[in-house]
Amino acid sequence: MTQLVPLILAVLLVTSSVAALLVRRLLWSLILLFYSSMLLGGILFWFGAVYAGLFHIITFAGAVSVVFMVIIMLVGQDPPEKRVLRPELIVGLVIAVTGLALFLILSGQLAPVPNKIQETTLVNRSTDELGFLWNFQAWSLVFVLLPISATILAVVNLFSKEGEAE
Amino acid sequence: MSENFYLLATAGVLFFSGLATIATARNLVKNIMGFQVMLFGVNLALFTAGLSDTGPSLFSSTLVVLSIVMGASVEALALSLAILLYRKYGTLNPWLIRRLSH
Repeated sequence: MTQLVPLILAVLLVTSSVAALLVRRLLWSLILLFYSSMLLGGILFWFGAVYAGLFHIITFAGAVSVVFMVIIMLVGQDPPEKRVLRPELIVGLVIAVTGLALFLILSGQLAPVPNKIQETTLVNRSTDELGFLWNFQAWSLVFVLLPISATILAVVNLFSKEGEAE
Repeated sequence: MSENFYLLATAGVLFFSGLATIATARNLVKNIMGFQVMLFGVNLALFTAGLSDTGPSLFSSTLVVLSIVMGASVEALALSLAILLYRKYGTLNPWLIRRLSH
């Protein structure tokens, strides 16, 4: 039971967030995003980070949702665009799926962050030439891969037909 | 802990679905919503990184709160810029704004 509740919360969180991004109407997106903010706050609550969870709900489900609502009221709804298979859509999806797969593979080796920062760890690290990249934890590699994928995306956008730079 | 893995998987799905939305959406408000979902993934990953059998570490909780504050500030700024762009160009489509600005 104790493991079932956060699992259900996590599944609901993913479902509502992805639905918020896929729905065409901005108002429905906002409602689903509000719901997912509450769910993430609930996850933080469940694992004992009461203040962080409360702060998350107050900030995102409260303040940011109101700002989103005001913006949607001011600008109205753009007519929904037709969904066609554009090149940047394919590139974005490929980057997202590749990054997610790498993340899932690497996150299996994650060690929990210690409660107290140990000063000796700075001294004991090996001094390999490339050691600064992923010497500390296996999933540090993700932080190297993310800027690379972002750069690829930026370059593709710059040289695409519609987003051509001056 | 087995919870760590599926929480990290959740964080990964959130982060990369937000990234895909930012890369593909043609509405600035939708882009900012994608950024918010990315931020949810980051917050969850930071929190999970400090989760152990004794509960969440104070360090990761502090980082989560810091990330919430910074993310909300960036979102508010982005939304205000979106309003300014809408007033000037009459659309929220970034590709159209880029064409109109030339």
